[in-house]
Amino acid sequence: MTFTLFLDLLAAGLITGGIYAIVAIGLNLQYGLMRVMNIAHGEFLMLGAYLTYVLHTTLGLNPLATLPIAMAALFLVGLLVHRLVLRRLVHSSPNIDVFEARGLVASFGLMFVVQNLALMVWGADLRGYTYLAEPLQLGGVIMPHNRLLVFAVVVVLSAGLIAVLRFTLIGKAIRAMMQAPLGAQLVGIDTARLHPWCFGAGLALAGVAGALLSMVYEISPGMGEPYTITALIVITLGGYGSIVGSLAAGLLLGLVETFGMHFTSPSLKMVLSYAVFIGVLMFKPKGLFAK
Amino acid sequence: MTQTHILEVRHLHVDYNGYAVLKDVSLSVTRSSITVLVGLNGAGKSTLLKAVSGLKAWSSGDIVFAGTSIAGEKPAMLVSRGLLQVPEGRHLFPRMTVLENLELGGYLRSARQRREDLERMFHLFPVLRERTDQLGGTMSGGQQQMLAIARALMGSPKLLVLDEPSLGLAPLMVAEMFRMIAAIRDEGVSVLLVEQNVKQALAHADYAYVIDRGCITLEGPGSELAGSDEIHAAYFGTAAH
Ligand SMILES: Nc1ncnc2c1ncn2[C@@H]1O[C@H](COP(=O)(O)OP(=O)(O)O)[C@@H](O)[C@H]1O
Ligand SMILES: [Mg+2]
Repeated sequence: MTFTLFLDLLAAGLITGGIYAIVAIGLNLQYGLMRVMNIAHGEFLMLGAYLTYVLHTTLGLNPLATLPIAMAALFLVGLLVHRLVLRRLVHSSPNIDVFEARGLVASFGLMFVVQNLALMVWGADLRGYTYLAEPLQLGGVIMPHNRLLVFAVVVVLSAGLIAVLRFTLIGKAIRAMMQAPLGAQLVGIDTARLHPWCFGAGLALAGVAGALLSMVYEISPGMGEPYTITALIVITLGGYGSIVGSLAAGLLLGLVETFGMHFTSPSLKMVLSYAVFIGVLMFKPKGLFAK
Repeated sequence: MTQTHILEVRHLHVDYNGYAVLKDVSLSVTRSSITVLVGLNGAGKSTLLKAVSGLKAWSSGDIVFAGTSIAGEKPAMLVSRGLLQVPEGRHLFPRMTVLENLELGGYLRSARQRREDLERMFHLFPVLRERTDQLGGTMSGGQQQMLAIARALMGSPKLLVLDEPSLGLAPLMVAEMFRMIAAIRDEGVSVLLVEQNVKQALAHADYAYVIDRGCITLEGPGSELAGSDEIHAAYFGTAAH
């Protein structure tokens, strides 16, 4: 393998992995924090992608400028879904395990509803637009501008998110809720009040990931599903409730897939992911970074 | 009117799915005193503390804190009113540093109050100052218990509720911890202490209750109970005299 090829694959792997990380952190905010295994997570990614597509192709907005809009819109959708679906389940479930099971079933339903709504509105065709597609040469690696932009946004978003979780009181409270829910309540964190916000933040991350993906790939109503599965793999790898773990595991999975596909075949992408998943479940069921 | 009691539990009945765990429990905690509740495993001590902290609803009776009923109040609300609990098992934030654990203890307080209280905690627990960057989950049992108490004190309690803080600690550590609790009381904080370490707990109690299978069976000043035949028969298998 030449050095240039290595850099090529490395860059591609980090970009894919960065997206995985953002999507997975979003799912981790839902599952790690409140045990909502949101099977519809990828559908919200898809909504973010269509939102950017529509704003760009009909209103002529710069896709980059739509990112905050996609985040805000999906955050509000998150609050709404929490209000209409999850809050009821919290109140009607006798304990957290029953809540988890019911949440899983409810989010399956949500997946079909959202996907089919998108099919009704936009049809099943692949859609796309070109944005910053001209290539850029960087030290032997040739890469379209838009991919670099996606990677830059992913880096900024992850760094921002980690800074919030590390250095602000509310961020520390969210980590506290993940590590010891009862302890969090007993220091005065109103967990019931923060849950909808965290659910919204999870969807906002899915939305912004979708918006970013629309800059480099074609989009369709079914595009979200594989990302849900990948996110599930990543949060298992990185540990439930560990944001830094999700980030590291997302990047790792992106690299494994990219290098693996190069040396085997692109059609083996999901096989590679599942192999990693099964390996972790067998040998490190508490996540790669658990001590 | 100033109440002499910071906490009053009145004819409390609590059940789990219809199975009665507390039956007509009444007790009170005098301001700036240590009140001890002892009882065998499964007697209902932790259940009572859960009810006191807003974590478990009761079926009848009432709990009055600082003159107001706490019925229906969420734990966070009670924390803001000055009712802090160190639960069974501590529930520290294991992958956060000592400093972060303490900061979160002052979650509902202002940044300035947090800074001042932090300094007080380091003064009270010098071992924590040396370990500000250590992860909570990696400390020894005794240090974790100190951290758990310090985290609760960061919430500026009027009443500090402790569920078996001596559990699993080495004897020297236990003695140190009881001294600590007495010092906290001397600063004006009222303490409700649940213990299975009956001898030491009664030695430090201003007033004590014995709970047996969900009922209060005995009460009195700590020194008096420590010498009672019932206590000795139940916990040490001998009579006092
Ligand atoms: N979550 C629960 N569900 C059902 N029963 C419980 C639960 N928690 C405690 N109990 C029962 O309530 C009784 C009192 O428990 P607990 O208050 O923990 O006692 P203690 O703290 O004095 O050891 C025990 O019989 C216990 O089995
Ligand atoms: Mg107990």
